[in-house]
Amino acid sequence: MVFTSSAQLGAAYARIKSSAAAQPNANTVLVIASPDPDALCACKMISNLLKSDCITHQIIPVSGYDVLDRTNDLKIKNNDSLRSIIMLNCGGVIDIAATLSIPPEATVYIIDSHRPLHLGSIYKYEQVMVLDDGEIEEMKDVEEAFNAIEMADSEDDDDDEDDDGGLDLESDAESEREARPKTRISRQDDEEEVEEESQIIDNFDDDGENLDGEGSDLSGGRKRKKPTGSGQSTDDEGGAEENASPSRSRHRPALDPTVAKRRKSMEKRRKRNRYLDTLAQYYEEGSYYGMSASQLVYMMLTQIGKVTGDALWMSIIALTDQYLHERIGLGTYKASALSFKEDTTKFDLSGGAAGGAGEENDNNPLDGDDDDDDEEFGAMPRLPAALNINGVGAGGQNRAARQRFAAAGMGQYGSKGADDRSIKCVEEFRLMLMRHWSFYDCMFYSQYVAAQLGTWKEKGRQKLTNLMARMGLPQTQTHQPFTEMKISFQKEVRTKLLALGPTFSMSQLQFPSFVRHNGYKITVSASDSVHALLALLDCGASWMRRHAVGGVVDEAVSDVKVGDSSGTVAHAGASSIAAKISAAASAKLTGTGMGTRLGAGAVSVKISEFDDVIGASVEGYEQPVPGEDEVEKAEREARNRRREREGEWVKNFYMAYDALDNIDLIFHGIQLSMQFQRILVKTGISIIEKNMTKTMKTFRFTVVNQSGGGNAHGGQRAPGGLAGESDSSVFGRSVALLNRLAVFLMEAYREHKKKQLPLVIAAYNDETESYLVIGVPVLKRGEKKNRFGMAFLKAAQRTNVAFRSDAFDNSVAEIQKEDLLDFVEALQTLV
Amino acid sequence: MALPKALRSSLTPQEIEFIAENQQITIVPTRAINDKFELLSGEFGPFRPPLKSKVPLWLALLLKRKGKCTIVPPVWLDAEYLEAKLEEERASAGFTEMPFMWLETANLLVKDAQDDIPHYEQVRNYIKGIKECRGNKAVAGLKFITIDLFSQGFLNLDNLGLMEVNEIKPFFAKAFDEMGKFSGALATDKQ
Repeated sequence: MVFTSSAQLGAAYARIKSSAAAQPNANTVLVIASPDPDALCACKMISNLLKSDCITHQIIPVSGYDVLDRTNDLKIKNNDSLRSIIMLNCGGVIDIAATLSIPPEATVYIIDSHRPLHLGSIYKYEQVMVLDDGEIEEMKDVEEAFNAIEMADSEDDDDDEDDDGGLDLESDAESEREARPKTRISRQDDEEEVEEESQIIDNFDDDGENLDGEGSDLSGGRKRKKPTGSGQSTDDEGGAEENASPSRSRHRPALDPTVAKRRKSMEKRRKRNRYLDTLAQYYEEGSYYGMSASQLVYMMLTQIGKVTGDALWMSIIALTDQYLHERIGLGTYKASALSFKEDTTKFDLSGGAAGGAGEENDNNPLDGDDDDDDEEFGAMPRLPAALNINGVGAGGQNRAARQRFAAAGMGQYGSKGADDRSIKCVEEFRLMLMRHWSFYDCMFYSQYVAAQLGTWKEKGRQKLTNLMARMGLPQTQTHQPFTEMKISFQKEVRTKLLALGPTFSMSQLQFPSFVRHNGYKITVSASDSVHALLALLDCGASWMRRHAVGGVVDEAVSDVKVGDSSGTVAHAGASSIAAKISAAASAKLTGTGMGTRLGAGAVSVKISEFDDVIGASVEGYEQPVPGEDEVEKAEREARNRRREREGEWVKNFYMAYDALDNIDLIFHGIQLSMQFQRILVKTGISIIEKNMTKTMKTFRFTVVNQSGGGNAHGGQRAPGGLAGESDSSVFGRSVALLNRLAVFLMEAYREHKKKQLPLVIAAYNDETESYLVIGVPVLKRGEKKNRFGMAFLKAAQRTNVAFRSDAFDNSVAEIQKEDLLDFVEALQTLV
Repeated sequence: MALPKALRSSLTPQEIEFIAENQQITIVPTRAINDKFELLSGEFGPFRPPLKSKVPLWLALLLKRKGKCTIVPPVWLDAEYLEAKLEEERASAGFTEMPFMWLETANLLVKDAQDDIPHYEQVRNYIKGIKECRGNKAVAGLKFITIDLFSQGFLNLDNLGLMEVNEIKPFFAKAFDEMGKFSGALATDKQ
């Protein structure tokens, strides 16, 4: 089978393992991951699994199809020792066998949450194995259709009578790759074709016959004529492209009464068309998301028996990511969350009656976890009491002693001890990063609240203050960081919000989610982690460089006394430089309320190592050539800078990868994501206020303008990083962020406008002088299929624009500046 | 080999940990490993769950990290026992009896084999307590390096662990020598 059913994921891993064992000294495994939190978590889980079995492997992040090509040339093409290529959240929707030149003994394992998956990868290619989440098993009719078309082809080539010739299932891999940017376009063409074909064929009884000889259709075997006459020469699809084009040529019916035979061929044709319809429908439904890659890997781990607490937490993060970005519905989310909840009890390591305490903690207000003082009182073992027992002998004292130990090990609030890394299920608010901002900020910048209350209008903001007042929170309190609000208020917030929510049209404020303790450090929730990871993936490296190291560019470091850094920065290490840096970091960061709790010294040391390792190894970095003149030097440096920018996302990837282990990095990520959210909400509000959205016939269209260029803050602009703190040019660079802005606008329009229309949003990226365009369908609670992918492709093809579809998502496109208007016009007729 | 000055008189804690890893310990394999493997330090395996086997601590920790075994903690690494020991330690003036490499072994096991030690946080706290208590005694005991000592001829320091010996050795040895010189001078003086 070329797909692995969900019950046999373990077998797939066993194959990877045995092929690695056969070549103990070679690197037989490549893990290719796309830069999103889901793939990141899956990558980490797989990496840990491979490490525990001592299998050497290499992780390669790829951000788009062109990077995939480069990787193919560098690492896959002539690599004979390669046996397994694991692709995470990429490669599932295209013809991967044609894209990669897979070495003969290697297998590609695809774990991709994008749907619809490419049928050839599932059913045809022996070297490609798609790991199934249960959905493929349900697609029996599609399977049947696919196989029938396949078989029919191989018959028809030899068959003289039937002239359904010309169906081309094989393609030249190289011409495929060259033509690949158009491949996806032509697939859309084919689907268009199919519709037209079925119409033609329905009429065929009445149709006149064309005399094109069969020969011309079968000629070359590889080219296919398109009866739509779109004028484009045939581009071949990957072999699994099932949209057949039964040629328009038919023989004149033989004069002898082979009516029965004719009827039979009619039958055959009808059947075939039904199959073609099924396949067309499969591809045309629109793109959506299946089970996240991390969950699939988690299933695999359970089958092998190597689940750890970390793996569980990472799957939870991936699931939350899918839910927060509306990729799955609440029902699906809840089902998976329930099964995770059952698993959380397995990983509670602290000794004693953990289960009992766990239940209690569920009812604690969420805020209690952050209260350092309380944790300490509870968790410290009460030794003096322990020593009061009479007699020390073994035997009768055992049970009493054990109970005592159990009791002493448990904290009163959240954390149970320095090593507590347990996961709890709690009810989470839809307020972004609630515990890390001031309460007012959190409400103001949360998508849900902003959309429901309409905070872009003055009236909406009034409503918000009204809500706060009715909750009984004084203004000063609401503007302080959440953890510094009075404890009584912290506790009330939860209940009051729930009570007052419905009055303010916010009735779905809660959803079940998870938190994880990290010993005595912050207890972080799954949604916070998701936001942090997204922020780090967008911009982590440059943020860290500027903030974790104390912003050396613009701050005066000299005045800071080393002695200021309190003893909590224990990692500052022996070197005084590191201590100075951490002191500077703490000095700069105290304003944001982070203080010195962060181990900033450790992070900063990490950054400098990181830069050395990665910076120099950015691909093709050009070294100074002796004897070059000024012009050449400038050009070379410009090229290097561009490469650095392109390499920046790799650094961000690894920064986020490290953050999965390191809670301090997650904390930084949270700060960064707060910045991003501020920019996002400000931009969104200005777009709505200024009515910058044009309503076209079938969708709304918005362009995100750059706000007045980079500002003077922080002078030096890190390549690929934030140019300034309030610059909305970040949208042009980050797909995830633009997506969230689009969702923000959609939600706002849903609440406050009468007509529900999908939204197309474009953001300008000044570095590449192009627009990043995303199409977002109407947000319905039920079905979540996005048909923009196809629309984009068709529009691009019709207007002949240079078009790059990237980030492995069809509904994201990059269009050159000049072509934007044409593109949008063409799109109007297609959606 | 020329060692830097700091290392000439004693071992580093990491070296001591390394030495401690050579001790034998019992493990319960969770996955079967059916081949023997021949390493420089000897032959190990095959491992057939659930039969216990004795292996060096370093191998046990390696297998543990890869999830292939559980470690049976030594008898003395137990919360109740250590609690009693702590009390004993506080009560007596000398050092109580502890296994020679107790601190290093305990450290390694508590770090990597937490789920195999019941109530490991308590264990960790008690280890810490015992270590501090003994450390205090050692420091206080330095006062005993007086000249009168030499009339006795020896100083009894029973039951020190390797790590503790290593800590006090440089200073203690040197101080002892110097004192010895003084006492020698006194003795000659008296004569």
